[in-house]
Amino acid sequence: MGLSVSSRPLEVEEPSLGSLLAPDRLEGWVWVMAYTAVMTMLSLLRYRLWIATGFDLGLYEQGLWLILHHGILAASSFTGAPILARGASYILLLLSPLYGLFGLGFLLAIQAFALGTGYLFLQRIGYLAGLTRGTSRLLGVAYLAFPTVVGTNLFDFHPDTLGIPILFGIIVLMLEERWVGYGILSLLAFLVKDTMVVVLFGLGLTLVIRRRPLAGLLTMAGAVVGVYVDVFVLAHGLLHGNLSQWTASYANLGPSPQAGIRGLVTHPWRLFLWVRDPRAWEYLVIMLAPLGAGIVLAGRRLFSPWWIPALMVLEIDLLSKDPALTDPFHEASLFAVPALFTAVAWGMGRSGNRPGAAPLKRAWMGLALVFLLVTAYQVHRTDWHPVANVTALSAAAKLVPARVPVVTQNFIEPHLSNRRRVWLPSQALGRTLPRGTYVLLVPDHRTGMTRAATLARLEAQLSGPRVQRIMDPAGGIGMYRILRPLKIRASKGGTP
Amino acid sequence: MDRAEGLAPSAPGAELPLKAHAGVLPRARRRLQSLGNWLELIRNLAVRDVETRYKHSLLGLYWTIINPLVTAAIFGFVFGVIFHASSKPIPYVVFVLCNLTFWNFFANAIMSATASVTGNSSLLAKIYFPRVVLPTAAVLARFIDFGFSLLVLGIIILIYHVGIYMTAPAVVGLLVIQLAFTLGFGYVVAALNVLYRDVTQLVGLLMMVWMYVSPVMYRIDGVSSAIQSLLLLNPMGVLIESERNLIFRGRLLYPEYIWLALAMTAFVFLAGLLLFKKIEPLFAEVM
Repeated sequence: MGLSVSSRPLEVEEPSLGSLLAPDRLEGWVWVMAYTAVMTMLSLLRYRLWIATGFDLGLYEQGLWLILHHGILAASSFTGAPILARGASYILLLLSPLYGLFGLGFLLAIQAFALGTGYLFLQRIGYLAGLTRGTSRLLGVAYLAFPTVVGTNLFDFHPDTLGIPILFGIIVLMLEERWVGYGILSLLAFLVKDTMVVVLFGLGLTLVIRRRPLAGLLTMAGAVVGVYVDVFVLAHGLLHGNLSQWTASYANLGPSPQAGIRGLVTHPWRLFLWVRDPRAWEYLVIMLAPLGAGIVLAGRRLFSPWWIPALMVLEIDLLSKDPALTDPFHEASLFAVPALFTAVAWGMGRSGNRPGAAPLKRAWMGLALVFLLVTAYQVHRTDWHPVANVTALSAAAKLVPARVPVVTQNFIEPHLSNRRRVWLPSQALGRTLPRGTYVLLVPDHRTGMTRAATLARLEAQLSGPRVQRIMDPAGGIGMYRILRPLKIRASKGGTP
Repeated sequence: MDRAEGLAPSAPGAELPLKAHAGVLPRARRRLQSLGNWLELIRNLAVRDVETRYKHSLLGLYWTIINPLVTAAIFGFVFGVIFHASSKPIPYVVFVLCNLTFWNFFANAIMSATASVTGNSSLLAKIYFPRVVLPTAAVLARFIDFGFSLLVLGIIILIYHVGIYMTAPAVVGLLVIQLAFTLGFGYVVAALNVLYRDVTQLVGLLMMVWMYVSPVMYRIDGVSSAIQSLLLLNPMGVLIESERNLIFRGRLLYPEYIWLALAMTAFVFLAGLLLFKKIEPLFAEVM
């Protein structure tokens, strides 16, 4: 599969400032920065207007603050374990001083930028795959509009996003057969998240199929070593036997990662237990069908080894009992995206002839329509409504002193996460709130994370001599200060 | 432009286009040399612009001081005295003069950049040089005026005995962002004005509206949080607010928005350059 070099005379490129400003060079960066600006604006607006459906932004903000002020083993009040135990994102160690200097805006902007750079990499992959510039451009736009990319960007902050340029870089270096850079980036990839080993194993397999056995086998071996180090060495040190993260997502496979892996090896049919779940098929259709259909409509061959790493990531998500992981807009599917789009580029471009105009147009019109539908669905199901009184809530949040423990809802906690103890209402139930704890609630504003019954149960117990009411919830915002330790009962009945 | 000739690089027997590149360091050296030539040209054009503007005028460069002072006095009277706009802890005149200093640099630079290519058609016909230096020189000429306005602001601050914080020098960083944003926008309007002369009128209107949407005459923390969040999406608004806060409050009140302003600036700068380079081949035809 090598490329020949002829004895034609060489064209000498005269470098100047003008060549750096050539339109074809600028265009890719314009797309990247446009995407960065738009996504940063949307995520910042959601933050400022107190709109959130998850709690990852506050979770990682607290995690970074804890690393900076209390060391890497300081436990997050959300998970009860160090933040590094949540996916082994060692890249957070690099991010924490930057977060300390530049704050939340930096996190949101760097996330959007990291995802946006995928457009540039896809132009390069398209070139190497033999696509025309127009087709590469469309592929890049399709990537920027892909459900997983948009959803991950809008919903809080995730360190996984920083792995996307690394993964794309690995793929480009694989295609260009620049193995030193490939090796360095592969090592860097381990820092991003534990599930990166799955993608790397898949890429290694792809290399073996593409007749690069040494590089492929080394990559696969590295991935296996990575799994061992993550599961058996680092997780032990960080988690101290706390396997709640595994239990929450993969308890159906076994009580521990070791048991789960053993079970899959000895009973491989467990890999297909999801086939009876309609949700799994919905997930696969949204993730694979638009891209696969593009190749088929263009009259190209669908199958290539590039699908392998993507399918492995999707399989990991399908094996999970956590329904969030089979949400196409969830960050769990993000690592599949670079390989998915490389598979499309390879499928579209792999031909001795230029693609015919009519099939290509059909392919891209169909793709565009599906993406628009999926994006519209995403916008429709995304929560965009802010709290009723943004100004009053901003003022109330400013009243909470620094460093005191806080109980608050998920859309408020990103604003109050720079402290050791922040609890969601569900976490407050069954807990003794220490003296000095502030409770800040907007009872009429629910985002799906906290049930009405949980809020009501908590509020019912925030009365009596141990509690000072600072703001009356009848006005829309309830704010309380705990004067003496207060045990919050988890079950119904009785008075405090 | 597509790689129209030959096979795709992934096809068997394909040949990659062969270009010999000098090493990284020699290329960087040549690009720096090229940048040096451009900067000298930009400097000469900018100085010429400033000299030409005030040639044969009685007050000359003093106009760069008189304009903002008179505007600040009018705004100070109308908004500060009649409407009692709050600008505590600093006097309203100082508040509005500070904002106007930064705003006027942007607005005047954009107005100059708009006419920079069409106003130099004779130069374009006589000699080849990178056309992008024209709007760049126009913006930098206004930056020179801005320098004089800063001196006046300093004098007014001293007269009113308003304290400034040690964070004031950090304004330089924000000025770099503002300069990049102004340049990018300048490239857009300069290129479009060659094709459509209405752009000059449109830019005038746009600057007027933009000034009222930016916190030039009012404090942004005086409005509700929801409206604040929308107003802060305006990169000039964020920059002016932040520049003033660094000088008079010693901190940034909305640091997260600086990153949005930075992302928007990078986009505007690159998109402006791209648009200018794409329209540039049409300059000779149209003018």
